[in-house]
Order: sequence, then structure tokens, then C-alpha cells
Amino acid sequence: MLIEKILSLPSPVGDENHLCKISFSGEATPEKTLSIVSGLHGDQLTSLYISSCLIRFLETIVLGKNSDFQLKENVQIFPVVNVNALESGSRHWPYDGLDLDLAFPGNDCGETSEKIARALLSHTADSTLALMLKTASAHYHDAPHIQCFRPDRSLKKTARTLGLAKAKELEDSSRLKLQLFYQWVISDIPALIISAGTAGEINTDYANQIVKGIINLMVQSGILSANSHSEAETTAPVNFFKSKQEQKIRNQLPGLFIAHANVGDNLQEGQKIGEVQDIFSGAIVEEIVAKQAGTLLTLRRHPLIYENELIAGLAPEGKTGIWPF
Amino acid sequence: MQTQTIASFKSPAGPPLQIVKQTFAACKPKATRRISFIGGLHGDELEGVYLCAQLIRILQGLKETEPEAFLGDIHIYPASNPQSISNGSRMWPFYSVDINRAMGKEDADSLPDEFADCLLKDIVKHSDYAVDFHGSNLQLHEVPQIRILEEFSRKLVPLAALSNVDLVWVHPSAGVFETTLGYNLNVRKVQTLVIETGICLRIHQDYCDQICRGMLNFMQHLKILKLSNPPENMQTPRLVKPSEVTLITSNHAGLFTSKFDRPGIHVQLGEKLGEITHPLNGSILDEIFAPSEGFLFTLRKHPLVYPGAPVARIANVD
Repeated sequence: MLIEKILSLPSPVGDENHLCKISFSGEATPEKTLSIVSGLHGDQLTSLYISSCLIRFLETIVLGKNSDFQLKENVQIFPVVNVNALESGSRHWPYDGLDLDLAFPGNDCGETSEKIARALLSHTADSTLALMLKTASAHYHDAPHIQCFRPDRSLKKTARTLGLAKAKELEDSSRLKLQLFYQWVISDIPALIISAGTAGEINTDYANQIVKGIINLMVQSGILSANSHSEAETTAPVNFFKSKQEQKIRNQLPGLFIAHANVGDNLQEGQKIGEVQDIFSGAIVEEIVAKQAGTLLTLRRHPLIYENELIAGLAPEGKTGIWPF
Repeated sequence: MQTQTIASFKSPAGPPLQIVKQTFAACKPKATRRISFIGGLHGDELEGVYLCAQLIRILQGLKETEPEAFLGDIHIYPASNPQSISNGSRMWPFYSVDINRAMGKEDADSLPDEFADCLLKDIVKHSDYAVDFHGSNLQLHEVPQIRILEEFSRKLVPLAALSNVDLVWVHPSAGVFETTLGYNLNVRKVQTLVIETGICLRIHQDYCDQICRGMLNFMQHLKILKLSNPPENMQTPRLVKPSEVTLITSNHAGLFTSKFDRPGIHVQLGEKLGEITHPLNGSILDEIFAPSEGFLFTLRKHPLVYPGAPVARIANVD
């Protein structure tokens, strides 16, 4: 394992901070490089935890403490990109308030955030596969799912190795173009986003599920070889759906949203998702229900809601159900 | 003056969040042209909010003394991002979202997106021209200036020349602009100027007076207003291209101080602009000198710098 400081981030009042890359080199002459990036926002702790778990797992292999696997290709992990935001306990670095995931392709002569973006992009430019680990913002909670952009057959096949049932195909937008993920896409790097949980906390169940999925992805794509990896575990059906097919549920009235369903639930048409309580009277003023059957992919977590906010996102029912991984 | 609420969202514990538009309609049934002024997209850029308030006051007075002067429709959105303005913050505080990076999305996912969408659609529907007022960010003090993307420069530079600003900066496009109000209005055929002035959380009365006179001149030339006493002695802005702008950045982390109180002065080659001090031991880490002669139009006011942080910009034109 090689810990490389790829960018120094000087501080006016102390030691410098660093953007770190953790690399694992495969045996013989590797031809592939898997890049895994987490922590573009300082509050995405589940994704950071997943990276840490993967680092620990890969280290046991390269140290010979795990005889079930051999590392064949290169893996590089960037567990914390927005280190200044992470250390200040916030989503963005308070100094510049910039959303680092809207700062790509960056500028190596620019300000700190622009330099970080540029360094990260150049260090992942030679990837043969890239994974972005994310969580929902602090206001929402995501069931673990995949996000992709115009996936071809090969990328869909890769996605099926992750063991996640739903994959949302993102639409082209001005904001997407400023993101690292999009930079990978336009550089012809097969790339996937995995989103799970919410900001500011670690969901170990999700993390364990995703770590297991990424290990399977590494095995199926030849990055790892496994001595005893059962064929039954190799792929799982994934329901790919377009963003526009996502059923977005909004409230009509403001108040406190109290959830009655959980992300990942398969809801029937008319099934209750939650209710809105008026702050001053305590009265239940609105019931939020699923308009059509679907899987609850995103759910409002922050209870305070204004009029007409996004409360829930439901993935359409796919041809395939949620298969156990 | 007609007051309209173009967007309103009920809040859980207080008054609704609203975008208010003030309209001064043409004195005749058919308006010559229509213009919109927008302030406060970033809630801490109070110069824009103040500029709109000043224009409203002037136009209200004019409506009483010269109602026949209004040939076109004038719309003013003085507080286009009310929750941010109430908190004095750049971002929409509840979501930490920059509403001027949320424009043009087809599928609004959040309240700030909805607001952005309502504002954009209303301006497009009612405007031939628009002016988006911005103060600068927390870090840099700017002279009154207009920034224009190269792709829109042919139409916008002649308009900018009427605006009584110190400088018009034509610069290349970048992806980030595609999410802004100015870009999205221009691609929808509303010719839009983006004015940048001062620094956030402050109001510079002299800058605002200068721009206000420029806006009256602008409307007079567009035949939206026909003033009996149009503003005089408008200045011709310096027109600069990217190759004519020198950006000076810090090479160190520390505290930047300058002998200059504000930009807007001519500096000589080699003239000292400021220095960077080590906060822990007081040593001078770097002295910063002008690498070229020219018009200092940007000067850092936030002392805290990291390597790469801009400290000044010089236009290499007279």
C-alpha cells in the first residue's frame, strides 16, 4: 500500500493538509486501474467509511493476510477529497463556500478548491473504471443505489456486479457538467456513482452492503482474483430507469414532515409515506402517499418543510424485483 | 408602480417566501421595450439590493413628475433571493445552495431550484433586456464593472458602453456560467448585462450612484425612458479582453494587507500592492508588486489567503 500526498494544502496557522491517494498495485503487469473517490463533500461520512473499509480489505490482501483473494490490477482510493470541509465539520469549506463537486475540471493555478479538483481529475485520468461514492444531502436519505449516465451494455454489466437493485440514469445538465463524474464520462472512463444514506452520519449496514458489492465488482472485472467466489453471487438484476421516470412526491402544505415509511420499501399505490403536521396546532394537515407503486429511493429526512418541497423519490417498479445479493 | 408576487411558498413557521416584482408600466398601451433589473441573487451582495431600491425611488419620483417619460415597461426584482438576503448569506441558508448556480434546470428538485425557475421564467416572459446586479464576494473589492462572455459580446458590448461603469471585461466562457441567471437569459434572447461592484455585505454609495445614473442613461438610449433631463457626463468604460487582464495571486498562506483602501487607481509597473504576513511569527512572507502598469480594478479585502488566492487584477489599458 502506498500513501501518496498528491497535493499540499498549506495552512496560515499550522502544518499543511494534504490530498491523499492510497494505491495498491496488482501483481505482474497490471493493465487496469480502478479509482474510487469519496468525500468530495465534507459531510459524506458513509462514503468515506466505505473507502476506509476497502483500504483495510485491500491491505490485508497485499500483506498476505487474506488468502481468499489476489490483487491483479491497480486500485487507487481517494478517501477524503474535501479535507478542509471534513475537518471543519461541514459540507463545503467555509472559507470559500464552494461546492467542490461543481468545481471540475478545476485549475492547477487557481484557488485551493480549483487545485484540488484539477489534481484529482489528473490522478484519475488513466482509470479504466471509476467509482464515485456519495450520500444524499443532509435533508434527504438515499437507499443504496447506482447512478449512471447513458450506460452502455458493458457498463450495465459492471453495474450488475454491485448487488444494488436500482440504477438511475442521470440526465444531461449544466450542473452535471461541472462534476467529477461527468469529467470521467467525457473522458471515456466507465464510471458509476453509488449513493447511500445521508450526510453527517455513518450507516454501517449500507457500508457493508456496498463494500461487499465493490469487492464483487473487483472480482468480476478481473481486478481481484478469488479463490472461492461462488458464481451465484456474481451478478444481480438491476432495474435501470431514467431520471424522468422517478416518481417525485411533493407536499402541498408546510410544517413538520413525519415519515411513516423507510427508504428501500416497496410501496403500493396510495400507501402512506408520511404526514405533515402543522407546527402551531399540531394538526395533521396532509397525508403524503405514493401515487403509483414503486421503491422508495429517496426520502425527506429534515422534518421542516416549506410548501411544495420534494418529499420522496420512488423508483419505478422494474421487470426485476430486488434480489438478495 | 405595480407590486406583484411572482412566486410564493408557504413556510412552516413564518410568512411565505416570496419574490416580489415592482413594475413601472409604459405610459402608452404598447411598450417600446421591456427591461428587468435583478438584485440580491446572492443574499450577501447588498449593493444590488440597494441599487434596485434606489432605482425604484427614482422611478417613483419620475412617475409623479414626468409620467410621459415611461415609454417602455420597467420591472425590478429587488430581493430575488429573500431567505438569503434575510440572513445576509450568499447561499440559500436552509439548503446551502447557490441559486445563481441553479438556473436553467428543467427538473427542479429543491425549493431553491423552484425559486430559480420561477424567477427565470418570469424575466424571460416580460423582458427584452435585463441587468443582473451583483456585489462582489466576501474576498475581493471590485470597481463597477460589467463582465461579458465572448459568445454574447457582439450584442452586449455596445449596451455595456452606455452603463457608466469603469470597465467592461469580455472573457471566455466556462461551464460554470451555464448555471447562472445571466447566461440563461442571454441564451433565451433576453440581452442581459451582469454588473459586479463593490464587495459583499457593504454598500458603496458612490458606486451605486454611478451605476444608477448609468442605468438611467441605458434606458434613455433604449427608448424605454424619455427623460427631459437625461444624465450627463457618462464615462466610457475601459474595454478589456482576457489577454489584457493580469491576475495577481498569492504564493503563500497568510494575511494579505494593502496600502490601498480600494481599487480604481492607476498603478505603475513594480509598484507595491501589498504584503503577506505570517500570522504566527509576524514575518513578511512575500511582498507583492504590480507586474504591469495599468488600472487596478480588483483588490483583495479579505486578508486570509492561501496559495493561488487572487489578490488583485490589473487591466493593462489606460
